Amino acid sequence: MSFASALGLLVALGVTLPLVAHMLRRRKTVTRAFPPARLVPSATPASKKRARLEDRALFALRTLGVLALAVLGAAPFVTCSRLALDRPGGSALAVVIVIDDSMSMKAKSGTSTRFAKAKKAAVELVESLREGDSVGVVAAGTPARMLVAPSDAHDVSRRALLALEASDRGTDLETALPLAGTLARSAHQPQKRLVLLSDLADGSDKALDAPEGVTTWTPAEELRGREPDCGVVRAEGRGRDVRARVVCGRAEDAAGRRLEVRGPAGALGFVALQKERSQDVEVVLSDSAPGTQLFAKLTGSDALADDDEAPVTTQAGTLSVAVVLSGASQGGDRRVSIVEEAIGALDETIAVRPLFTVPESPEALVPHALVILDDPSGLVPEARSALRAYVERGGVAVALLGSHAGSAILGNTFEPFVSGAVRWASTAPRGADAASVGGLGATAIGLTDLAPKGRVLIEDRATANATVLARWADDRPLVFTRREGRGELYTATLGSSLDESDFALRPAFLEILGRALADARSRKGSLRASVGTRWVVPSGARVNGPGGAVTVGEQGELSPQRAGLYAVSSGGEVEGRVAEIDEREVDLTPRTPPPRAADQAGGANVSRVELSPYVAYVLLFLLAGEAILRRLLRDRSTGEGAAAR
Amino acid sequence: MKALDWSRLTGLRLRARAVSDGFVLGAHASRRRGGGVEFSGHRPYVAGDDLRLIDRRVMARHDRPYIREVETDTDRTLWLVVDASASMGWRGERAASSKFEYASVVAAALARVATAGGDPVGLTILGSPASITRPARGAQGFERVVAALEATAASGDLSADGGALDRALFPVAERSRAGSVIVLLSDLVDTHEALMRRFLALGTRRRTPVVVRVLDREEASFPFADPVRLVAVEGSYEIETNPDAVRSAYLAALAATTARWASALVERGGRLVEGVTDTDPVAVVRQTLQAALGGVAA
Repeated sequence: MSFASALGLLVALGVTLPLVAHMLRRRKTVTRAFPPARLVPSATPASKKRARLEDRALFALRTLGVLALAVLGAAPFVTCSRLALDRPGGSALAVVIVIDDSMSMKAKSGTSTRFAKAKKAAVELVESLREGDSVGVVAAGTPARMLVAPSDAHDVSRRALLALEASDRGTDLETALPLAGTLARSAHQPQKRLVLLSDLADGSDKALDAPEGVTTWTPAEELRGREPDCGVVRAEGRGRDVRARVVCGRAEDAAGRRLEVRGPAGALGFVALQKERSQDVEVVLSDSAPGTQLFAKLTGSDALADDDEAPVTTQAGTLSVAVVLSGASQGGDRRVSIVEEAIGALDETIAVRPLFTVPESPEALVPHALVILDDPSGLVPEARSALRAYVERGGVAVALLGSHAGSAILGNTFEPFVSGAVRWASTAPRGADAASVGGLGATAIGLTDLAPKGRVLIEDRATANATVLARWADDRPLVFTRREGRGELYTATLGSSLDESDFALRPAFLEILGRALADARSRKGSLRASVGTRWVVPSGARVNGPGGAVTVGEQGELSPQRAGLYAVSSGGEVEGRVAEIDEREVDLTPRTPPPRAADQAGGANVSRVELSPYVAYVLLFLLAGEAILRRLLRDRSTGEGAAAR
Repeated sequence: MKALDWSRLTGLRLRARAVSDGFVLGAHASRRRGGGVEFSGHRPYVAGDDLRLIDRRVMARHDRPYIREVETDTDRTLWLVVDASASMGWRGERAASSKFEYASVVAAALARVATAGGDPVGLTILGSPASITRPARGAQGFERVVAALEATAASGDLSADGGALDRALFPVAERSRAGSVIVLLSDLVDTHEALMRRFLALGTRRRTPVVVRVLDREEASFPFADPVRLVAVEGSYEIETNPDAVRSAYLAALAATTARWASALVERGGRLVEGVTDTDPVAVVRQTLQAALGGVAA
């Protein structure tokens, strides 16, 4: 204990003693029974007059002043714990804060939410940085995204953090951590830190890996906890039946709860939940209540209230994909074409509609979000017109050109996919150019050894204004996309037939279809998509969601932040869409965090912040306040004295 | 004079006798031989009746003997109305007895004086619940009154029981005949407006209303010095006050209520008597008799 500390404690004692003496000396008002009390006039006791407001204010100011002095003297003992970063050797830091804005962060944590605590901690960290440090922010909600690139403009990061709100997104730590690691490594500061503020609840049970070359710190242990939670992932209405998918973090979380379907007039039906982690339940409604919006809601309460309710959508809202089958794909002993199987593998909830010809009116194509032409033998003029109109209005179409392309009858062309001549060549390079397939992800490297029996050749002008996703080894286009109106056209110069190649069995094939599907979801009104999924709506459209009006970008893009029902109004028509939660968010079990920073050199820690400067400011403020108050009291007493005279 | 510790005395009868001695003899000039006679009705003759009281005119008309009944001025029923609310049970820190105990002694003494003079005595307890003791003459009347007083504990909140006053006073109004004396013994606190309205309504038909206001010394003088929070005994009322600053105002308010009662009673031929529990009840009994008998006992 230093001399100053002892002195400070003595001063504190000096404040306490007079106060205690005053309390002991002060006479207390005696309470006693007195029958004629109603005849007694009221009068303020003299002891109270002595403690008028201004006197008390002065007394309080002086007491606080002396206390502040005492605290100042005892400063080595009075510190405030808050998040701060160690800086070995005093060198500058490059910090990337990964903050989880997923739905699970909305879970209650004490008096606030996990997200509120994480946000506060992140702001504290930014405020603790010094000049020369750089800071960036990455949000870990699906999809992981960079909010602020690392820079020394700390206030930009601070404002971005303050503006960040909790969403109903899923958790994408697998992408967020590498992204943050890349950002930290790109900074020039010698000490690189990654601060992960998350509950680590993303449904996975694997331990998280820390990015290489960056010290990773996962503070705020209070954010992580295994709290009970159940959620309604989706609910579909079919006449008087409502089918819903309910997921719980643990099987016992479902005990004693039930799912109710409610309309404006109240509950229309319910079913008790089984003690299972995930279950598909069916509720038979007592009244179908046509034309009204119904909601499936869980009774009882848990750590996360936002996932306890979901809007009931009609089955017609399921994403529909039309697959136009060629003669080859219809034949054989396969009951389902390989393209249909691939779509089903990507998303089992998608309704795949096999067609045998391309409809000749755009209205027939409108119900489908994606149209896939599997080895067509050309398109008649009416089909071309319908397909072009469909795509221009926001549809997505895929053409897998195979051997049938060479047998197109007179008058049939492949527009709008390919303009000009299209012919089948019975020879082809061994595979794709490895340098060109990087955009399709790591699995696309398998396209380099396709060894097909042939391929489709197109004119060079066919790829004008197109983005080539993969090229053959001889630099001819293998897969390319082109924008048409508000829609998108995908073209492959190799069909799905296994007689021609094993292209359809490669992971890259699924990747291409997956991209087209994601495009379709964002453009053509999949009525159901995950929160955070990019939607594209007509320019000028107004979108209203669960939280009110949603801001739409210039290109008509938006990303729903909250789960629930969205109404897209455009051109006098209203289209309903549903943003669903990621069912993995319901499980609040945290993953094992990356190796602790304490085990690594230069790890971060909870720092103790000295309060002395702040206390000194408070002391000055109190002294100024006392001076002003004394002046006011003197003026008042002077005025009262003059009035008395 | 040294205050009597009435509560330490063993029996109300002894106390009543001690207080009433000196008033019993000479309270009335004569028994049933007053100057005024008021016809009250006929009844059939029974064996033992004084033959001089047979009304011959009625006997001639009905061929049966009838006795003519009269009320003389000396037959003055004394109705005692004793307040037994919670405020009457209160006593100050230095008081020897509660107000109810003091009032009971005065009431019993009055009953003894009345019964010794041949007058019937009735009692009604003003409390919750109310109780009525029908008028009776002689030792029986005195015993009934004393027994009823001894069986009563001062409690209850008259301010919260709106019908308590009516339940206690209505039987008195119904049964008391002309010439009765009705003596109210109360501290006149809490319900004094309602009590005044109902009690003064009894001051008709030649009935004499007399009020004995019984106060504790602390109530009469307000001797507090330090800041105090005063809580009413009946009703929920409390006030924090500075006694030095409000003493004169309180005493003035107390005097004002006394003056209102006094003037209202005088208008109806009655009178207000004041008593404090640390004073000799003999003086109170004397003043009450003076008020009831119109100065005969003075």
